[in-house]
Amino acid sequence: MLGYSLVKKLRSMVSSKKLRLWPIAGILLVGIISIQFIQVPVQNDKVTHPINASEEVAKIFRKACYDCHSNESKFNWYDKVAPVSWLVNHDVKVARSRFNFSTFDTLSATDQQVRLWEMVNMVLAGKMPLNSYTILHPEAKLTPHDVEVLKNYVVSISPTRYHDSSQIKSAEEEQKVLVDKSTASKNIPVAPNGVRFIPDYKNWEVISTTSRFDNHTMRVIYGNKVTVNAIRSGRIKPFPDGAAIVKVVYNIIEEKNGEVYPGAFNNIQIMIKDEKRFPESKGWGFGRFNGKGLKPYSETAAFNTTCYNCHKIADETGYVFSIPLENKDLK
Amino acid sequence: MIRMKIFAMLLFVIAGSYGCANDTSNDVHKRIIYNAHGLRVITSFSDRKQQTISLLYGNALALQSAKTGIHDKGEVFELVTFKQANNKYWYGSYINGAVQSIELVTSYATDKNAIAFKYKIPQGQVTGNADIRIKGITSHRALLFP
Repeated sequence: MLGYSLVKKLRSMVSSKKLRLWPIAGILLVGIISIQFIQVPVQNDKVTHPINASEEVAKIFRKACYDCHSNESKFNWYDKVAPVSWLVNHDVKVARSRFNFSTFDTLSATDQQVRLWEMVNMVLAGKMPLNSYTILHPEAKLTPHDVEVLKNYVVSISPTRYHDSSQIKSAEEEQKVLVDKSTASKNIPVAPNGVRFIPDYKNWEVISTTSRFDNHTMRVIYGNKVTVNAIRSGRIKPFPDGAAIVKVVYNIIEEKNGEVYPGAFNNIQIMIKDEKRFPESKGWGFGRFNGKGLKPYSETAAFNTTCYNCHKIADETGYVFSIPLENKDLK
Repeated sequence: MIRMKIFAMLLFVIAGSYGCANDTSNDVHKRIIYNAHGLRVITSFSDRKQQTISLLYGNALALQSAKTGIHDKGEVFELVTFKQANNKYWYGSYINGAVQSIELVTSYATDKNAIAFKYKIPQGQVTGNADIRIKGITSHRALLFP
């Protein structure tokens, strides 16, 4: 008897809850249907200047990158249903703005090289393809063989020119007029995002030096006291406000016997840490000053985002690529 | 008894300082920035076959002579050769790793007022005789640092 009344009571509760849930479900349904009309679907524009790469390389890009970084995006049915479609639209728009394989050949040879090396490094750092994408598209995951193919590809598009006479000549010309031209008494160049050139870097400590085979340059990298203290004490995630890094970049002269010498000065790159001024790039403000005239790179501050996007690879080291290795990595 | 206590305390201090020193050097996450003691960079170069990266430091006089090619007494050159390492965060770049050797060259005036050089290897081993090393180290030209 007791069991029967309990069952009856439960049934009446469920049916009254059902009655109450119907309007909510109805509103939700109307809502979901309505939001389908406020989305703008991603359009696949024409493929005008596709990347010029071997079939082996292009095949890897197609399987891992094309859904976002090309005008040949293929969408599943659920990618087209809002609100998922909003996220997909956003990701594809951002991805195409970084680079688009369907118009890739409109970029200069140098820009193509820069982006391709960045892609490979994004892959090696495990940042690309996005995990949120490969969960639903496991076929997009890269195999170790794919990664090797991509590494060999970027090396092949950046060949070494041994004993390059033009580099030697420009280095010799620079030596003839070598004077320590301090810019302290002149106008200090300023990047479009407000990052100023810092002439005093020459009195800072050198934190590292690099020799690069991607763009055939070398760097002497300086850090101010805040930077040096942060590195020595292991407080780099994040670097404290006030940290500043200056990278002095030179072309290189490479010899067949393995010797690599500095050629002419190329540019100076600066990173300053200021959380208030640069909140959208984890507090880092970037500056680049080209040639002996230290001409600020870019005409708009938008380049700061480009720099930061690439530096995201180094999030493990506070967004700085070239800090000294940890003791465990020294051999 | 007092002597025993002092000896025990001394042992404790020595053992403690040794332990601390070892703690620092064994700290796997520590990053070491080479301390050039105020010397400035003259140039940098590398050898991909030998897998080394070098930084040549100098005092103001050494820096000046690396620009003009004319030597004076009192120059200090310090060549630090690091093992070349892969830059962990950027495929396409090598970075300086552990210090392999340090070579020191200083200039002085002889009795006949000529400029001569002294050569030392404070750390590591270097091939080649002193005269050849001195010539190599002092003949590098300074980089342009705008």
